[in-house]
Amino acid sequence: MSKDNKTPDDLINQLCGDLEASAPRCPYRRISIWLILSIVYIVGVINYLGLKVDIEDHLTNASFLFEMGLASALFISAALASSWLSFPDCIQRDWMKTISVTLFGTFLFWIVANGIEEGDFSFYKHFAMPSCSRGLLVEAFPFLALLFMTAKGNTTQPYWAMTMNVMAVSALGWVGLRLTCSMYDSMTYGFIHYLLPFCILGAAVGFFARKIFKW
Amino acid sequence: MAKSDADQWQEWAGQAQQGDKRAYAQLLKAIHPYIQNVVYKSLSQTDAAEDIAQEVLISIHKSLSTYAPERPFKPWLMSIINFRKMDYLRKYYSQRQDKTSTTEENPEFMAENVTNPSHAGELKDIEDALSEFPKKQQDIFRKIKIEGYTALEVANQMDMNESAVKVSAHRTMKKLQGILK
Repeated sequence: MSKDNKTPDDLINQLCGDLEASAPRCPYRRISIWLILSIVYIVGVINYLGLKVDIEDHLTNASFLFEMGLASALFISAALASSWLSFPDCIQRDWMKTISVTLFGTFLFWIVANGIEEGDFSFYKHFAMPSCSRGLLVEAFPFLALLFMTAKGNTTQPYWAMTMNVMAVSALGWVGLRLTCSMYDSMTYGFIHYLLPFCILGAAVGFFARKIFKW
Repeated sequence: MAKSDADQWQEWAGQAQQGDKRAYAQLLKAIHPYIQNVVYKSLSQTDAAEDIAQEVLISIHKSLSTYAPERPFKPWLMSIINFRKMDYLRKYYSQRQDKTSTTEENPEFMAENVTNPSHAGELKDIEDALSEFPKKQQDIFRKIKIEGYTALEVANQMDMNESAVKVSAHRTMKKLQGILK
């Protein structure tokens, strides 16, 4: 479809000729499918990798359960916000972004506060530790699927859409890795090896958000 | 009671989603002047404004399925207009088109850097007077005073002493001033 050398009337006639009946797109339908498939995928990955050795202790720890709840809420809210951002008039639902950003801020605060409480908040020490390389397995496929889905939409806020995608998948990855990785049970380690690489990768891909979400 | 534009557009958009080409044509024809109006108000270039208006129509076509008929139509339309307008402005500024202008738009630049046609006769007088000088003297004068070479560069090119080049150019200038008085 092109407007080259066309008068407005010619263009309108062409657009009318190309019109096909299309049901209004539901913002929740596709994202619900993605949410369900992502949960199934992560359960499959957890089953494949095996739960961490001291998982039973963790599941009785209120702090760990809160952390999992917070990450899951971030996963769901950011995915829903991302879905809404695929609609041109997403600006009318800016509060969805606000919720996700607030949850992400709380999540970061929780990580930092716990890291300080653990008394082990040394970036360099944890950075030098061997990485739990399962992150890519946990996060790559859901991210690509979400990216593909958002790219099929018509967003007018590409950078926000990418931010929400990264937040949703980071939170999903956090849950998956916290449940499986037995390498080192520290929030600082988790931050550096579970969250940070994906956020940096997401930010790098985010530079191309305008091209990826072009429509 | 007569329907407002927004209500009418909302209705046509809903019908267009069901494949009603007539309602779609009515909708596009009705919103085209509105889009132009919105874009013209914020852009000075009318050609670009018409281009953006057409881009908006194409974008509406591509994203028609994202409109929910129970929601108001105008905010949806305005989102697309603003997005396309910002898209255009981003390209416009990234290509630094705001830093370019035609010579007609910039008379000060014209006065300082472009030869005024009314002075063409004076230039011809100088050329005529210069042609009376020996060839070597003409070359030195042209290279230094017209082409912008330094005395050292001309001296190297012509295998001469730098001082001799400076003296030659100075003498030519004085003689020309005397002839053209």
